[in-house]
Amino acid sequence: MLRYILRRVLGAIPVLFGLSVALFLFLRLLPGDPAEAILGQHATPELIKQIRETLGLDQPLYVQYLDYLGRLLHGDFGASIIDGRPVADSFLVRFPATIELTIGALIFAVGLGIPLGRLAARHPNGWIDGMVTVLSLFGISIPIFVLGYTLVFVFAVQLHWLPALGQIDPRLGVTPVTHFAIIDALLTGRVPAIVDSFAHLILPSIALGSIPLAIVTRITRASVIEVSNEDYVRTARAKGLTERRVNDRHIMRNAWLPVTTVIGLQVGGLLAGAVLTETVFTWNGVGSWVVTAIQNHDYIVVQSLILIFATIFLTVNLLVDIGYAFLNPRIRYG
Amino acid sequence: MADQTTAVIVRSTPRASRGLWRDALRRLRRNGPAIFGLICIAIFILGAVLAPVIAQYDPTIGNLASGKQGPSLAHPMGTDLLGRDEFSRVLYGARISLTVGVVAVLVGLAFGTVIGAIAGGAGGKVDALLMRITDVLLAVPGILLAIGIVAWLGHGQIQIMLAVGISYAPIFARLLRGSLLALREAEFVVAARSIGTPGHRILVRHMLPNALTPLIVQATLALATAIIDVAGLGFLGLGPGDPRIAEWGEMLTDSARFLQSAPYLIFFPGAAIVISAVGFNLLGDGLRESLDPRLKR
Amino acid sequence: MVKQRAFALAFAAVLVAACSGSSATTVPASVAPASVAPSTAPASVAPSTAPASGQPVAGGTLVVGLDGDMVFADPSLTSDGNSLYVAAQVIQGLVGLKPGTISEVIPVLASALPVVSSDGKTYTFTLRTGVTFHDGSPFNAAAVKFNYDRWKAYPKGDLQDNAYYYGAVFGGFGADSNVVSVDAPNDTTVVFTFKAPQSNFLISQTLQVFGIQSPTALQKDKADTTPLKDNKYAQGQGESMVGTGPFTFKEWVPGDHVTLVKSASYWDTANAANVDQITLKPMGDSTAKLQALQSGGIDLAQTISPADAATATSSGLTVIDRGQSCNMGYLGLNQAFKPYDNKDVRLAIAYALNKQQYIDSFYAGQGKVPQSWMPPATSGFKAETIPTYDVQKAKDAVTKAGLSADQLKIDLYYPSNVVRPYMPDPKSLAQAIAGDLQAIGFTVNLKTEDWHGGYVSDATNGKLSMFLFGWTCDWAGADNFLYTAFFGYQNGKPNPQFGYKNDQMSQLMLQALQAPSADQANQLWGQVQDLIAPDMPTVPIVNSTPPGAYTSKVHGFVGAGNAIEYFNTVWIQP
Repeated sequence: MLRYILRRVLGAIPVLFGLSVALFLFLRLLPGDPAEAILGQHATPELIKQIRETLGLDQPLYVQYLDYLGRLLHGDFGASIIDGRPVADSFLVRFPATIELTIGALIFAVGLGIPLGRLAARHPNGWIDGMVTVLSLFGISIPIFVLGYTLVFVFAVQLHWLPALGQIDPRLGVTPVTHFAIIDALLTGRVPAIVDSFAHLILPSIALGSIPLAIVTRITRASVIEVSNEDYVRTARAKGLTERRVNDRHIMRNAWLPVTTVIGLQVGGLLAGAVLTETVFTWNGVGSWVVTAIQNHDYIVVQSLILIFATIFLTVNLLVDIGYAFLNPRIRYG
Repeated sequence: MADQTTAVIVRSTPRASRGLWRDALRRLRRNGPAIFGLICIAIFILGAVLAPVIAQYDPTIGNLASGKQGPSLAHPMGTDLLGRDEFSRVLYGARISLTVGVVAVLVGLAFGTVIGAIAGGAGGKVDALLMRITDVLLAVPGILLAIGIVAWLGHGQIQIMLAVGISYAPIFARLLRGSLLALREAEFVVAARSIGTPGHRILVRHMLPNALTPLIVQATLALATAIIDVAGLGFLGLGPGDPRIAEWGEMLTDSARFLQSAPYLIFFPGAAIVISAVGFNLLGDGLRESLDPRLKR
Repeated sequence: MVKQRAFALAFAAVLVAACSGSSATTVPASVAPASVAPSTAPASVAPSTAPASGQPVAGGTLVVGLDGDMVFADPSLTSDGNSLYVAAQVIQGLVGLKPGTISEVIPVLASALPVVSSDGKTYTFTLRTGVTFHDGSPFNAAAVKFNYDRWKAYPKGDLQDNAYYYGAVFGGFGADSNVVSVDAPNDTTVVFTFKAPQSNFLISQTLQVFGIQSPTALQKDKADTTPLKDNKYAQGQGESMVGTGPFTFKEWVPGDHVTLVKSASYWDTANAANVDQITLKPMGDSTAKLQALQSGGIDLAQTISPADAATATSSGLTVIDRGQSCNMGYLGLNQAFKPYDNKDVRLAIAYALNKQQYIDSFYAGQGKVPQSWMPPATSGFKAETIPTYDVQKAKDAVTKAGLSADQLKIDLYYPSNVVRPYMPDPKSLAQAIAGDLQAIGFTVNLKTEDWHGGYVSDATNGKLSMFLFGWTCDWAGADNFLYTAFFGYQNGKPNPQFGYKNDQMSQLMLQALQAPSADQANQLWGQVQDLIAPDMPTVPIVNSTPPGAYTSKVHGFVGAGNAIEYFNTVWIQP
């Protein structure tokens, strides 16, 4: 097992390296300039040239890349070209919001998806199953921003049940300490603030979790059906075990495997979905940050962020594979 | 003589010959949701093909003064901001979405099967190298891939098809390679090899036909997401070069800001995207279930 | 797995999608040069009479939706509208604009408008007394001198790069600056000496960029640190943006919000703030803004999409009337490309565009058809005869131009992923213009580039033949439009963006810039417009007033066409 992990980690290094080079080249070759982003309508050829000089953008590409790589290997993720803020600092401010969103979405997707999947699998091709299938297909097919806008329109604008934007109501005066709104609210000990922070999480979690919900539902359903048809389940039933015992001991335990794999793999998709969700609900997370950075040609921020994302993605993949091997005794890696 | 033996051995295991497909078709016909999916798809293909006949207005020209009007007898789906008939635009948009979706998946299949077949067929170092490359491609978010291709080649339909197609290729490659690797150890392949059938013949005649079925299922499902992906690219402003051309994704995202003032402009292209995606999904699911050789029904 | 791809592409999609709302709308402060004669206008920059009904109520937090995030907490290093919008509440300069106007200069930290020497090279200001900075240190002539000297001394590198306005107004830094010296002979007198007269000096100083900050704070927090990534003052950490305004700068969480708090020691007690606190949140998405207003999540949105104006009103929100426009959207024509070197073609295009219809369809009616190459409230404006919508005259002009079939095929460029105050929907505007041009016989090929992805630089470098563009004023002066934005020669040659050669015009403009008084300058600017109009080098399309909105809880808000607005008159009453 240890060798396997080591092999995977070592294997990831060339991938990340290749990614960093590809990213670097790609960003530099796109038309446009951070200088234009800084100057806006005031851009003149002279001023653009001047700013490019200051930023070191007139150096040969390999020099710029080695510079960046050098600093990266020292743990310096660089600073934003536009406002000079160190990437690491901004990351610590913004990442918590994305994590909150992601966790909320996963709780929604798994908490609702597994029971729904099991329900649908109970009577395959019955009308409950049909409804669940169609519902999950809609979940996959509706664009997140449409779903988000609609949720806000119904629950915030019309019904006034839930808030429309942000992680917490600024009027409550909660000091941002960790930038996890729920933790910061808990730190104040004020119940209205705590309730408020949870309320702000509900709609975005539903919007972001809609696609993972659909997928988890379908995978659970498929997995449960498949396992139910296995010989050992039939044996268990023939032995006279109660349906409940059959369910818990035999079906669900084996059905979990593909479900956990899929959940783990959803992380990449959740990150992409978070970008849209953060825009619609005005959450200050890394998703919307990457968007602004790309718009502004803030090379350093984009490069560092995407490398961080890729590392997270690869780590999650590795954890999922290890977890899978753990859960399934039939699979062992050398 | 040797051929006869091979034939005997091959026939006793699942094969991609007429038997499987005939069974599959029979099962498909009984699958309600799949039929529903097929109907949805058929409607849109018809709409796309017959657009010039059915549409009453030119989808690219409108009267500004009659912009943003709700559905009426003259305009069953209303008019957009520039006064163009929404119904005509949805019909013509079907052409683009379906064409680009189909071609994109074909492009992905083409690249993917070649890479996957080489990797799965050759194995060893070739396989490892190809999979490393696929890994890097998979680690790069598809968006950058798409932006890159469009930034490099410019806006346009062909570029979109390439961009989406290439982003699917690694997935098809992995799928095919996985199937091939599994099949290498299958009894009938080992048998064929043991009697001296040349490698490429094994690959083409025995392995590929069996490995293709999951690909076909995946391709059908990919069509569903291709439609959404193309719409997503339209969202990005990476749609067809000329914004006057009707394309569902661009129509949807251009109208997102009219959620409260003209919701019908979101609803109709949105419904079109969703229904066609759902249609392909249902069909793909149906195909997967009916092609599954383990089902005894 | 395929779904993963979908997300990755959705990711990309989001990137682009999000673009459409969050581009920095540079809505620079507009400055009114007016006359230089001392005025007896009321002292405070903040409006002194709240126009709404009822008595102001103290207390509460105002939540404002900003178009985008601030860039730096040191206004002298900013040139974007968002930073200036925030700074306007905290920092004050020697002069400012009368609230609700874009070109009437009033004294703020000066007690009266300055005395100008007859050769226009010396300006003497008398300062207000009894003013302190937010950190308690006294405001005096030495503080003013400190600030101006500091900007002039910005070294080459990122400090100079970001201090765009100082360089643009005074022609450079250090020895290149037109400011020879700023002297403080006593506590309440400041004297500016220039190399050459500068007719736009007074109006340019109403920009928030030239606000006076506390020298004590600037020195304590090493506000001149370079590179900027190490500059805590500019990053808004510790004590930043220390000024003399009705609000103090409390907190800035980048990307999330800026918090301003009512200043207890504001010198103009009659116009002190009513609300206790303002939280400004950057919000890039227009639908999210509208829904936030409707649900009460925010109290006021700096701008809303014109598409939402009608919905806002029917939801019970008040749409902000911005009154006097300070921008211009236009169709640029580059005479380096045929057939735009032909005056009849340019006139034909001018006749062909149904501008009022564009304003109704894309600007929610919030705009006017221009009468010159700058909005009417600009200092130095002169109304000219500009062709109105007339398809027949357009066709006649095309025929007169005698173009071949090939020459009738033209390209029209528009920027993507951007919202500008003068052009909230470039894509739709481009399609509408294409339709109008096709109606008079042209075949139009639409082309686009990303605004940040080369559109601006391609346009300014003269690579685009016919293109949509515009200008939001830095200050409401003719020089800012005619010279800086449009037709000022660069390196002795016509601006490559338009290729418009008119040496007589160029000479007049240079004279106007160095005129000793604003009146003389405006006379010359009028002559410049008289020369430009018959040539129709570009087709002005709109002077817009981008709408904003606020909820029924908000009272006392005064909107301005340059979107520099003051919150000290606002109170909250549910």
